[in-house]
Amino acid sequence: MVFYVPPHPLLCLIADLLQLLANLQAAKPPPIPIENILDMKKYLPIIYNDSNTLVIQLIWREAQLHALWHEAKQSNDPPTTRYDLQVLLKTALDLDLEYEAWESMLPPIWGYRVQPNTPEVRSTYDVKWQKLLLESKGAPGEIYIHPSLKKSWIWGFCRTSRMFLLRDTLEILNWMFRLPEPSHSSSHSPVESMRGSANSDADTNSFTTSFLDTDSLRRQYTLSTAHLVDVIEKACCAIFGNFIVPVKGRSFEDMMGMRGYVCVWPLGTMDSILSSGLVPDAGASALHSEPRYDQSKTLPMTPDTSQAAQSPPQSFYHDTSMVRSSMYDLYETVTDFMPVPFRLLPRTALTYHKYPKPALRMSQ
Amino acid sequence: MTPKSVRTSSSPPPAFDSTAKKGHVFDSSPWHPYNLPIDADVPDPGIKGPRSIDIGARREWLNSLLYYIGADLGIKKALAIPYMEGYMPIVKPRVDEILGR
Repeated sequence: MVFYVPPHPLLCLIADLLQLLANLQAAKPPPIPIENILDMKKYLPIIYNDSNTLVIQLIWREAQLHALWHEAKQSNDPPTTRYDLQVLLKTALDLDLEYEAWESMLPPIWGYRVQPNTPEVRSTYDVKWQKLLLESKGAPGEIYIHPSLKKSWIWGFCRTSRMFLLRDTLEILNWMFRLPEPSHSSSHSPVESMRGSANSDADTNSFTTSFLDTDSLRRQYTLSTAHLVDVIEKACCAIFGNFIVPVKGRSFEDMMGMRGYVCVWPLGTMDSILSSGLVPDAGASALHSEPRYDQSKTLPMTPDTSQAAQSPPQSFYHDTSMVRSSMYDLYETVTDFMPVPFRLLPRTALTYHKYPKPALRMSQ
Repeated sequence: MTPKSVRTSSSPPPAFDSTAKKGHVFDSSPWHPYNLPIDADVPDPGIKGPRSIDIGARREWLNSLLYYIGADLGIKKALAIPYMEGYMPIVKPRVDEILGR
């Protein structure tokens, strides 16, 4: 006789989240509709409480946007006018505002301690951390200590996914700068037509040529760059805390693997962005600030790293071995995860279409 | 980093090369030439300019941590970045010395 034991809803939720992050990393659309994740609220009411945040939904929406942007620029029929990209840009800017709103709406329990990274403060921590993290070249100027590893992890999800969003925004703007500036004699409200049966919220999202002129785009570029620099700085300030924050029922040195695991996605994403050429470089002629696209650079071969090089981290969040080996730890870490009030439900399914040429000609 | 003068073009954007090598293992797709700004640092007088980051120093810091996480905490895939980005000769001896190896 065979008994079927349905998987615990929490396991399903964790699997969905890992797949969502994997898809974001790979620029693939979210694996399942956000409504399906929200539906799990009835099975996991403790997790889906109001004290949690909107992170999962923000990540879901950024995964969708990220996939669409990559689809657009990889298309055989890529954007050739600024109108082609305006919906993606507006969506990105709106989503960034919602990331800011998420942070501003957090209750005090989500707060964290901020310390200056000074010799006096550093001396209060273990010498190993001082040398490895706090006083070394390139260390951030502040130290953020979150109240728990799970809070720190969720903050990491939020900041890292926002880095994806801001990178997308800057890339979209860089495309638009290369495309002809729209005529000031016309205005367009193409959003509604692009969204088809979009609901009434879309009616308010009309564009004018002034939104797409070069001066406006330049201002937005400066703002988005500033936001990206700020988010990267904050994410770096929070890394140290992952190694020392308490974990309920565990010793100080316990769960070091999980502590490192939590850091890898933010660290890898930041290194990717810093090597992209999108962030202003304060270093004059730093040794490693040369463009990374020089494929002729030689890579050192060391025996203990060859295996890592054969396993690209794009599949990092597909690797569930950590989850299987320490499910209890993961449970402890994500128990407060998963927000999702419905306020930020996507207004409509976002799709990428080039701005329809006939409509453009008509409006001109 | 704001484009100083925008050079628009009537020619179509360069075709995406799906076979191109990814610039960084954490990039979502191969690099496209339109991703980057046209011109380098030009302050926009209307907006307080963004701060900047010492990219060389910060990347060394990031890669030191990735090496530590990969070599000491068992997350082997973290080693791929310092390896692929050429940071191993810098971060490995430094971290090993700190850890007394």
